[in-house]
Amino acid sequence: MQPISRMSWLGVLPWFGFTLLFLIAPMSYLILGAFQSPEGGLTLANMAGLSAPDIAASFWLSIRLSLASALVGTVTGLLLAHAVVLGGLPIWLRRAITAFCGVASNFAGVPLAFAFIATLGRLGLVTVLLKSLGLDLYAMGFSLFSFWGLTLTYLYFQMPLMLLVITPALEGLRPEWREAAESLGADGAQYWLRVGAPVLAPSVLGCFLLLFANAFGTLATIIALTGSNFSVVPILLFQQIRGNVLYNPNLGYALALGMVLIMVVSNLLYLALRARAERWQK
Amino acid sequence: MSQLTLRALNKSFGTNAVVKDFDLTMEDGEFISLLGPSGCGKTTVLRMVAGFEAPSSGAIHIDGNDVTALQARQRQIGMMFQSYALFPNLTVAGNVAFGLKVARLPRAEVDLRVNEMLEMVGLAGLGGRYPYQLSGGQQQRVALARAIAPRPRVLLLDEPLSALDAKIRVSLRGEIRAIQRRLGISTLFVTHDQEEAMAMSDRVVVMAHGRAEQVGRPDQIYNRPATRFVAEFIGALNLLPATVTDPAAGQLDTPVGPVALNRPIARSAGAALHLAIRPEGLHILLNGDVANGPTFTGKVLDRDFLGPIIRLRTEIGPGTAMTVDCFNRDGASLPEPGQTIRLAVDAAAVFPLD
Amino acid sequence: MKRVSLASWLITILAGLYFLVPLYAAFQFSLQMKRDTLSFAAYASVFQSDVFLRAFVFSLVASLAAIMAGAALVVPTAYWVRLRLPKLRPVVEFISLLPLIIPSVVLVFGHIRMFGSSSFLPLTTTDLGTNLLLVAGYVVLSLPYMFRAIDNGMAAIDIGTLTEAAESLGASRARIILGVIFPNIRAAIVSGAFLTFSICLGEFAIASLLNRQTFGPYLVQLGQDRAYEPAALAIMSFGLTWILMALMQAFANRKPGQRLLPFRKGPTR
Repeated sequence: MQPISRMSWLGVLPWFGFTLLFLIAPMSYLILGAFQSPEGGLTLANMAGLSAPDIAASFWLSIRLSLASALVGTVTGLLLAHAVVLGGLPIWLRRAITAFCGVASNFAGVPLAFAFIATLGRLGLVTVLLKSLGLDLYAMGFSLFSFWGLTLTYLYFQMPLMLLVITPALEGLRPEWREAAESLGADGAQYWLRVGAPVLAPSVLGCFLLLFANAFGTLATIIALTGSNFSVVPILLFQQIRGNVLYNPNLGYALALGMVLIMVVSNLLYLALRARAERWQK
Repeated sequence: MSQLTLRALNKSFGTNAVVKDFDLTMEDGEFISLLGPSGCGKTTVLRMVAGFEAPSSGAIHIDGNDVTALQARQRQIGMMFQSYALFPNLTVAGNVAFGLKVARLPRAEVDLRVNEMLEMVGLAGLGGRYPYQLSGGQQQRVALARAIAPRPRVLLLDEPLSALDAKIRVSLRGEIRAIQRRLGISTLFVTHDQEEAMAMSDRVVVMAHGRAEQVGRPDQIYNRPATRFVAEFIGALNLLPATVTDPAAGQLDTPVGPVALNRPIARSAGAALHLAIRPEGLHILLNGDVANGPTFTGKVLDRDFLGPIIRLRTEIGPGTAMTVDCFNRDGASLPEPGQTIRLAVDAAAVFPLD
Repeated sequence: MKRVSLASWLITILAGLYFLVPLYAAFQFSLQMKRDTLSFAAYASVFQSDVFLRAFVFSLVASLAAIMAGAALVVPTAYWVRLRLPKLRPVVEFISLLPLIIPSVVLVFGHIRMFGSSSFLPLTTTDLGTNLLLVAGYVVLSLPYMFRAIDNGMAAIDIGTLTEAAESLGASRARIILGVIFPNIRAAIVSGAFLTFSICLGEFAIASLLNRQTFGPYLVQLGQDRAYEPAALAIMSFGLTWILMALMQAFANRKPGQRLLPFRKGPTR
């Protein structure tokens, strides 16, 4: 090994300068701001302000929407991944689905919203088709621009993401485990109950949290679908930045910090569970 | 414990026949190895016995009962895998208890049997560990304990030693054999390692291209190989092309001169064959030694030191090589490369093959 | 076994319907701009719009700038950290992955406050400064993907040994980076670049809050004003994402070597 010269530091200096200026400093600014009063004194009032009814309602709506979309995404993505990996589908179909999922998991935002408006909007293809069959979705209370409509739209990138991140875990279920269980007298249900499910559980839970975080930060899809009417936290923050709707800039910082905290917690849990899952993958 | 009979087993994947007309009867408590190169169908035979593959035709009987149509979990077999295949989410004790719990044994009995098994494989006290905390050798011991805990009728071993280090491999194979003898459990062992098969088995089945080439005790397989494949696959071998001149008197002609076996050969005069000679069957004639069998004169090409054995490569005629193994005795003078030596072999150690 | 396979087919078909119907619906809808006849009029209308072209080109330029800036920042750092400063590795990795947990709306919030009119570096007060801030935001957003791609690329070719080999042959530092390291991780950089591109091209929150007329805000505006063009754009965006991912896969899976290493050009007999 060559001695570390002072020159070595020059190689990483631009990078550290950039991240300090455009990542660390702005985030620190927001975090500090969250604990400051408009006059500059230290205070917890902003964080406490997050419990104001309309803000708390936004958080609660965001969390519910993210939970619902993560839950539906996890279950459907797991089913699809199981079908694709272990279901004995032909290899070309498996490749096609995996490739499609790579695209679909990146197909978020405004174009996705447009596609769903053309499908399940008031004049969407499926809406009109079902109406002609005597099933009026909107009369039955469904709306694409509601909680469950958003959940259904999010599913378009959540399910593929689930498939992509859970596939390695499903492939890690070794066929010998199943054979060993069978040779010891276990049937399929006993194998899944005692081995398959416990082995998969940390991965599935970890992926669920990843999907949760993924949904929590989504902004463009909601704006394209609902304008700014659906008051989840990212929308509230968006409006606060645009026009200081909270009439308190420091409360805005607290809002941003609250969002980051939820992302931090779910990602830390994800990492912890992934470490636990990888312990078994040898 | 049990008798296993395989009758006319065939297995094809698509148009590819991997097992052809395979017959085997395994006696109670016998240890039989399926030995052969990769792709010879040995693992497929084992997997058919286990119930993981269905034979294309033929029947499998355990203790006289036809189990061909039974699922793996109904066959009461125990199995060890090359990759250990321990359940990663269960402790050592949990792994060993798996088959017992599935069979709904009372808890006290499960605990008792688990401890007994762990003691037997030398892992007493490690019941609380997880597989990832164990070495490869320990994991495979757990796999053995897990396989025999439910008292299977037949134990199936699918190359259980090939993922282990050389030293552990040797010590573990001795232990597996000892436990197998103690429990008297009929065992079918798949391996590509001839030394392993020879050392462990009551009988060895040498397989090639989906067929059993020869079934016999290790010494029979080694000393009296039935086919050229078996002879070449097991141990080192010299092959000398020959033509029969007098079958009744055992006379042959070879490129390096006539050879007399002094026993009848079951071929007609003029038949072309090969004479097989193991390197350790040959010995060097010193000045004054009298040979009572075929002899060859050759030039030493090179010399490999293999520890207990020194292997000489000689040329006994134009383009005809002969390998000779000598014991390594300290102080013994060995021929140098380039030197001309005389080799002799006992006629009984020369066997004709196609 | 048979029953499992049947269920698998059923699940796959249902999922396939869910994925394909919206695409079909959008496509179908996009063709209906002219009454009573199917036509590509909506597509033509999109392409004839100056606003679209300006927004798209602006996004294109901003994304390319972000890719180049990102690569220029990450490549030397990843190289140096692997080679000389392994102790810094956890720090660099942590900071690089940090943007994964920071929603872009939060990031741009920090930027606006930090570089506002009363700041020491008032970037948002000028057009050029705001454009720079947009690119900086994109670089931060794509940092995790860029870093992972390049770091994995370097791990795959054992950068330390390669450098020592080049040094033992008398190569200078600059020559090592340009002649040995860069060609060998070019595939990794390109794969990171495509990911960056797909993130930045349709990005909405940062561009919108910085009042930049990029593709993302343009799409949202279009969705409020028009009926058929958004569907056409959804189809085109999907196609574009597909192309980007395919290109990325192609580059990510290509083995470094062969064409890149001159001494392997032909059989040497």
